[in-house]
Order: sequence, then C-alpha cells, then structure tokens
Amino acid sequence: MRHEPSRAERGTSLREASLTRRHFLLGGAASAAVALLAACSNKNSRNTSAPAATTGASQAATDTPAPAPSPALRQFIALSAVLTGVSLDVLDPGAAQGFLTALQTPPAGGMTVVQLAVAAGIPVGGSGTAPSFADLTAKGVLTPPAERITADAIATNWYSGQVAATGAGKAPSVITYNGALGWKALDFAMAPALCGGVFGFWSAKPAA
Amino acid sequence: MAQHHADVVIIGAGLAGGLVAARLAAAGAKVLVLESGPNRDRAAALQTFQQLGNDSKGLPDGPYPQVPYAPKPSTIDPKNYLIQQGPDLFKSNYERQVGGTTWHWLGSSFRLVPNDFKVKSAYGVGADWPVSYNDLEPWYGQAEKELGVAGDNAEDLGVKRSTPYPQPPISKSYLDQQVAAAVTGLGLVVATTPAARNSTIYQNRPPCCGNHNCIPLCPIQAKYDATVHTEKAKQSGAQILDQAIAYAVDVNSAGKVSGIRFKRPDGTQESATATVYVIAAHAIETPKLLLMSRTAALPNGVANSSGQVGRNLMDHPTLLSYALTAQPVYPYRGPLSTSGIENLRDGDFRRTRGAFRIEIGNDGWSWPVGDMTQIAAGLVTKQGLLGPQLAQMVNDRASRHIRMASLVEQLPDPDNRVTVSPDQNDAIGIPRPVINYKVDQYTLDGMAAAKQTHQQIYQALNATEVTVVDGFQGAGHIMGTYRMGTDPKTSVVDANQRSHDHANLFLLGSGVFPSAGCSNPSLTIAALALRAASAIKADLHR
Repeated sequence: MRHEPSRAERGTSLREASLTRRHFLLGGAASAAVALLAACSNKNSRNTSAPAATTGASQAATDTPAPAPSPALRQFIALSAVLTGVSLDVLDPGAAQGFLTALQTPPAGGMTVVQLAVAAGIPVGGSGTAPSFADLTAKGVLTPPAERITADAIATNWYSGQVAATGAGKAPSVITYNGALGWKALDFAMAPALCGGVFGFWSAKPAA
Repeated sequence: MAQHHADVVIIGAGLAGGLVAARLAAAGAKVLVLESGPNRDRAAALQTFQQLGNDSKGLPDGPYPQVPYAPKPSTIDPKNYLIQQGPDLFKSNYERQVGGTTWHWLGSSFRLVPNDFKVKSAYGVGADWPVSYNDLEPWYGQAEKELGVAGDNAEDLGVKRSTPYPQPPISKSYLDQQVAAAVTGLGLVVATTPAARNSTIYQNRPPCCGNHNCIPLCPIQAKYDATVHTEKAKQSGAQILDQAIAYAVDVNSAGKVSGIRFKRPDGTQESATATVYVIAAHAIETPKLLLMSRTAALPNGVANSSGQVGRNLMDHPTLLSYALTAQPVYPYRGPLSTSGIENLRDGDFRRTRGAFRIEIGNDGWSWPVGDMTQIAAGLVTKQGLLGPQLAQMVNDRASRHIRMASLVEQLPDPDNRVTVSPDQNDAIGIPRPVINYKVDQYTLDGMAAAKQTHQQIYQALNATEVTVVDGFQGAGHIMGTYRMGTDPKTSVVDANQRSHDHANLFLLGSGVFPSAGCSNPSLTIAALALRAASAIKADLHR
C-alpha cells in the first residue's frame, strides 16, 4: 500500500536537500558533499546511492533498467500488482523481468505464470481493467493449490526482492535491492542505504 | 626481505592507530602503518551489501568479505576463525581492514562515567584504572573534536564537560519521543545519544541524511570512520601499508622492541624498524601477536612479564528484546539509534550486579528477527496473506516495530582469555586465536535487571508481542586483554599505554581497559590514543 502524498512530501524534502547542498558547494565544500547532492537529487526514483553516484558506477547489476516491457512482462506486472496489493507504478519493470524469468520454471506444485494470469482474467499485454484481489477471492481463483503456490511465490519474490535457492546449500538469487516491496511498499520508510531526506527528518511523524 | 624504517611503526589502521598516525605525522614524524587487511572501497562495499541475501544484509561484516591472509570472526559463524573453548560463545567480531571496525560501528560516542574508572574503590568489584575521569576529560574533548561528535550539551549524561560537543545533536527520532513520553514517571530518562555522525558538514563530510544503514555501512560517510584519520595521516606523509600482516615483535637484549616482521598475502616476508612501536590491532589480534612473539628470553611472549596479556577478555553482553507498539512509532528511519536510557549506568547496585544502558533502536525488528524483506515475505509464507491485506499488514506492523538492547557491564576475569593455538594456523601460517569465555553471575544479574526494565517500558507503551531474546548477544565491544595499571606485576601497560616491559612499545585500543563499564568504548579508545600520541611525541623529541 502506498499513499502518494507521502511520496510527494518526500520528494519536496529531497529537493530542499539538493538546494541546501548546492549552497554549500558554492561555498567550496568538499567532494563528500557532492556525493550527497547526487544521492539526494534523484531520490524520487528511489534508485540512487551516494558512492555509485559519485564514482559514476552503475547501480547494482540487479537494478539495471529494463527495455520497454513485452506483452508477457506487462501481463506479469498486472498480475503482480493484484497479488502484492501495490499499485502498478511501484513495481520496477527491471525487477519484474528478473522475477518472470526466474518463474519460467514454475515452483514445485505450482502452475506457470501465464496459466495463473489467464485464470485470473489478465490477458497477455495486461490490457484492460485488471481484476481486484477481492474478485479473485470471490471467484475462488486462488483456491486450488497449484494456483495458490504460484501466487504465493510471486508475492514472496516481490516482497523479498529475491528468488529462493533451488538447491540445498545454494544462496538465493537477489533480483532487486531497491525494488523489494518489503521496503518499497512502506508508506513511511525506504530501504537501508538510500538517502531518506534532509537531516533530522526522522524526528517528525511522517505525513499521512 | 624488504626492510622499512620509520620513526614510528604502527600495527593496525583502525581508530586508535589512525588517530595516532595522523597526530604524529602532522607533527613531522615519519610514520609507517602496517594493516593486515585490505583497503576497502565504499562504492564496492555498498554494492556487495546490496547483493547479499536478505538474511545477511544486516550483518555487521556483510559488506566486507573475508580475505584468506587476514581472517576475522564471522557474525554467522563465530567459530570460523576463533577457536572457541567456551563454556560460553564469544559472539563479538571485528574487522581487519584499513579503517578497522569503525566501518561497521554504530557511532555511539560516550564518555565513561567517573565511577567506571574506580569501580573497585567505589563498589569493590573489577579493577581501578590508573587514570581518572578528570585525567582523561581534556582528551575526551579532543577526541570528540577529531571524531566530530554530535551531542546535546543540555542533557546530563553523568559527566562534567569542559568543552561543548563540536556538532549539534543528532535529532531524536519520532520513536524516541514516543518512548520518552511513555516512560515519564518510571525514573527513566531518554537521552540523545552522542554520536560520531555529522549533523552538519564537518571535516568535509556531509550531514546524515537518514540512510538508516550505520551498521554495516554508511554509504555517504556522514558517520565517522577511521579512514578519516588514515587519510589525514597519508596527507601528512605517513605510509599506510595494507595487506601487511605482522607476525613477530622482536625485542633486543636491552629489552627494547627492535623490529616487526610481517608477511604479505603471497607469503613473502618484510620487516620494519623504528624508534617507537605501537600495536593497535584491537583486543584479540594484539594479544595474539604479543603471545606468538615469545622467545627463549621472553617465554611468555612480548610485554607479558605480568602474565596478563590475553586475560580479562570482556564484552558488553547484550540483552535484546522487541515488541509491537500500540500506536505507530515509525521506525526504519534515520540513524539506527538516536537515543538511549543512560541514567542506569551507575549506582550502588554495581556492588552486586552489572550496570547497563539501554539503546533504543530505530531499526525495528531488523536485528532480532530480520529486515522488512524477510518479515514481509513471512507474512505470505507463514500467514497466507496476499493482495491489499498483505500490503496493509506490512505497513501497519512495520510502523509499530520497536526493539531495545541493553549493554551490560562485565567484570574482568583472568580466565576469560585469548591465547594462541599451538597447532591450528590460518591460511598464511599464523596461529589462530583461542578463546575461553564465560559470562558470570554479576553480568547475568545485570541482564535480569535489564529485562525487567525492558518489560516496564513495553508495558508503558501498551506494547504487545513482547519478546526477550534468550541468552546474550555480542556488543562488538572487545576489551581488557592487555590491561593498564600502575603495577607491572598485575598490568601490561601504564597510564600512557606504554608497556611496563618495553619502554618503546605502546599498546592501544580497548584491550587496555581494566574494567568495562557499560558505555560504548570507542570514544575512550580515541581519548586514550590521543593521550598516548602525546607521550610518543615527547619520546621522539627527547
């Protein structure tokens, strides 16, 4: 769940942060402040961290932007939005592609993503009005185990940002850091290591 | 064998080593620093952190991968490097790299309270220090300036100050304010934590912007770390050699240290000589090096005529708890901790049980349970939530997460000790440390008192799902293994941290603490290091 006013408020704070730091830069402050300026000036994307910005290094490889979403990807994103309970714009397309690729092999006992999407009434391309989660529940779409297993896998992947290991002793595959909904779905906080705003913002109650 | 020479050779490029290197180099001394671990790149460390699995992201050592030539204790597996002989597990770890453990420290920068320096005289337990609070007070002021401590001059933390904090305080979190309001009437005072974290632009580093990641890594270096001073030292001409692993301290027939031998990762050997030698490799690696440098003339090792090297290993065994508040407190914002309860750090109760301070966390349940990615995924897999109810529950519960940690005083016990393995070596043939460790009843009783206080606070907050984690956690505050004192028979170094046995050898770091108190030790390490730097400087000018 996300409330846009909260995000807008955060954006305002970050713009103020940029102005503040620009002022210091003009005063001759050091390169470290440049890092913070870069880190905070692009925070509406919630996708930047200071050292990477400073060095010009790319973001973590797992967060590289995806090309224009394919019809299959749009279908997956539409299905994901219903299952995770967040709005479409919260779901990072690059991460979505990673999850979709990982689910090419369905989870044990589960069905394919396409089968689940079709069962939910979401066509390839994700066009049209997506069903609500209440619709799916009312129609019992997620009641059969195969449907439920895949639905749970999609939601779990999105909230964790990673895909569970497929073999004993293997590490999970991190698909996205910035796009993990465990953090990104919060109205009031961000993933650690992302600049949250101007100094001291944590003292105030978040805007409703 | 390559040979190096300097006025001062320092082993360890962490907090103490960095400060002394910077001070002495600025004064014109030729300084060589030998650091066993590598240089770290902040951007690379951040990328490593982001690509860790969710169960490893919050670990202090997560962004800093092991290197075979300078192994270190792992948070997940405390037996990976330390040979633990119990009966209790020693759970604290440290980093071996340029900048040391300050890469992953929280930044809390307390002065010890006056009775911490005379706990034996005042309460009949532990050991007195050879310095008093008043002796150290000016050095605390200098240390605060070097580290850029942000604090609230108006708050009483049980000490008299002759200088103000160099930076305005780190603002209390919204969560802190809710706790402070709730505990009114319980005799508990929520105070702003003094922290080496910028509240302004200081030393050309930016103010904190709430990255909420002090542990394991501040991505913008708003939090002080010792690379600030290793860089200053370099700018003043000091040479910092990373991947230089000291394995022997040589002592001549006159009883003076005459050289350091060290290895490179490829096994090649080099040596360094100097007028003054400083070992600042923290409270496990320093005694390890001294003990493994034993010879026929020094069968107990270097600086160890007292037999105290490696003994009296201490930590602040930590009681950890968490709960769900009745109203949102909005954690997961700002520095990981901005306030604590400090008025329980001293009192007559210390005759019978350990003192404690309570750290109030802004990090929700990340430490005891797992971060929000893990908790949210658990709502799907364990509670079967999906759709809007899932998103709503994630927000609702996360907004009400709270945790507290009490750092409890531990007494020096000579049987809690570091020794070196006679037959188990690391990858380059250096003996691994052996740890014997037990948490005694004095500390356990302190933890029991802390538990009661945590429960009172949660009750005042009308919190539910109150959980006190069994046992103790490591605080990462490793202390006591080369204690300071006035008597060479019962201590290793004097009040200036000079070896009683070898006049040109100084041993720095929290290993010199004769007693532990319950306050985070880093500012005291820094103050003592600056004091030692003054003594070393005088030696060099002699």
